[in-house]
Amino acid sequence: MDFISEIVELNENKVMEVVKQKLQNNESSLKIMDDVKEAMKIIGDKFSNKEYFLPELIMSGEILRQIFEILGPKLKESQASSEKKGKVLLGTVFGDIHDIGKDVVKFMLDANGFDVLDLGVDVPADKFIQSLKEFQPKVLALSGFLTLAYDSMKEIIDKLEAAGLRDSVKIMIGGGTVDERIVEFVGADEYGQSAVDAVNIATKWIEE
Amino acid sequence: MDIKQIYKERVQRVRDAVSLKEPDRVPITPFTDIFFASLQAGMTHKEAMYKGRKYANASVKVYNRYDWDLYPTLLFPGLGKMMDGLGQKALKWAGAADPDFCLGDNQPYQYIEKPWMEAEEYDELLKDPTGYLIRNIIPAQNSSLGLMQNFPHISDLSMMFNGMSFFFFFISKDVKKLIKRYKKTLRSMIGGLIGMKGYNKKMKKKGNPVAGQFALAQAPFDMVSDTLRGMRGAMLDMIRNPEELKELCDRLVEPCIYAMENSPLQLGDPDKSTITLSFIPLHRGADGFMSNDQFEEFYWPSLSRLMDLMIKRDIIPMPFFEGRYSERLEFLGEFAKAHKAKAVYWFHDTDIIKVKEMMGDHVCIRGNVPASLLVGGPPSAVEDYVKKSIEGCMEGGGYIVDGGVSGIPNEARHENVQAMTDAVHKYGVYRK
Repeated sequence: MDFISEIVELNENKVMEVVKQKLQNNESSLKIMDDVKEAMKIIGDKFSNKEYFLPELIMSGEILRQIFEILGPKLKESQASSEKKGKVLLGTVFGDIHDIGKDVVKFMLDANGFDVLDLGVDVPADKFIQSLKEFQPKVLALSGFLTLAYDSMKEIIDKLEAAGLRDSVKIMIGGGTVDERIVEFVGADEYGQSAVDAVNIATKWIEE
Repeated sequence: MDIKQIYKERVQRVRDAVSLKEPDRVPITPFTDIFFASLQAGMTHKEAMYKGRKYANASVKVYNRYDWDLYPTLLFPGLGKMMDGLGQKALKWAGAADPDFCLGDNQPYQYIEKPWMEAEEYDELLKDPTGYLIRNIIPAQNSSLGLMQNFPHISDLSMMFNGMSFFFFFISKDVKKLIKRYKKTLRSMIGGLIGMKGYNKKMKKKGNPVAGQFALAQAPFDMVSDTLRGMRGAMLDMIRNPEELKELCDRLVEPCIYAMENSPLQLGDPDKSTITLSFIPLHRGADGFMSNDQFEEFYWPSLSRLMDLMIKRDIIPMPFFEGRYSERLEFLGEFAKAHKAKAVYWFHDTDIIKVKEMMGDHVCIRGNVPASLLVGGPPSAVEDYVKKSIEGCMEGGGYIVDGGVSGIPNEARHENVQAMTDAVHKYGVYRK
């Protein structure tokens, strides 16, 4: 089995063995990274096709982390040098500290070549506004699990409006209790039920 | 009509629905999220966490506005004091004494998910689960219980003279101090306890049955995921340590039953003339979290065994299928068929009309007015949703109206909740 397939099949030990071997053979970490990225893309596709679910996604993240550890800083350089599809600003809205859904969305956007800035959880409106100005994304993705997130999302979008920034981004929302009915209430553009939806919506908006 | 009669009719309505008989009207039995009543009464989350009596009184006032058939059980009010006393580290909440665990005054409490136990510790846990939980997990999750690391082995008691070392633990100075501190904590919670008893009494007096003090149960996989390994850990275990994970899930079934039978909620003098639906909030079994094969291998065996044992003890399990369970309906249907009219399936984001068609002859369905409507409204949209659900699910009995997520969400607006209630009275009538 080739290196990419070993990653896709989540053969953790074998993958790490091969990475070490490759480094011993002086293979460039850029080349290794290209393969890893290719594998992550396939894993993302498998998740989209419902062949893989969260255990596989988490396991692949774990393998990625171990590769990172070995390749270290070189990996970051190669990441920075690669071309990205478009920028997405992401975060769980203030009041809410849940991160599972947001992290899955980040994984899928990363795997599909987006440049994602993840602001973490419990992110206040001002932080979104400031990052929006600095990072200048085309897409803002607001995540929330609790029902209080509705009001937080509404407040963030109202503040964007007041700051004259609303028209500079497209806004998608998602998370546990969020659904399409709440889009209008909070003033967003679209709702995504899954991380796959998030990728599709972002792709559509970037290509517009 | 006299109050006692109204009370009786309400309970009967729910009993009929669960037994798959047509009552006179579709029952409405909102669960309500923990802070709905307190927010409606203008309290902050912090006040709700610390002022148990006020919280209980607010609940009486707010719930009495609505014409429901079963009213929410009051989960122990004034919980903040107890959690401060324990030095609880698995939760963050408004007003917590430890600033690292304190949320804003207007934030509901939220769990901290992380691996409290490492994968390498499975052997130790499986060898002596009780001992492991006492000596490792309890001190890890409660900063005031560090002493439990030295808790003696229960097996000491079975050995000649060694029972002495077991008892000596309790006379150590530090343990005595801890017990003293706990007594103080419990005394400070007395207002909440009085409030809880008062709530049950006052509601009954008005003819409003409070849902039986349903002891909470959890799917064993979720117990591992929520409180032992964290979701990330549990899901890695599915790939790296599948046998250990399955064994642990299986071994958690009986303790779960034991915990239900000894629930601290009994402290509130639960009303025996009402009906108890045992709430099982499910977390990681939803579509998208795992495949059907994984669900069948890791999630379902211990959960279905738990529900089966509950039914054998005359407890009515009410799994709450949070998220979407469209891919799992065959598993759910099969269990319902084997346990006809013995459970209530509460749905969030699954198409309940489809569920009714599939398994309505075998199980009572509950749900699922969306949180987005109960918060965002408008009332006319709430009415439409309830009407459609009733029309699709009422035939033959076996349908109970409630919200989709946590019943009524904390932030729900009164006019939307009223619209949901009115719609049930308007469209849910089987016979006058």
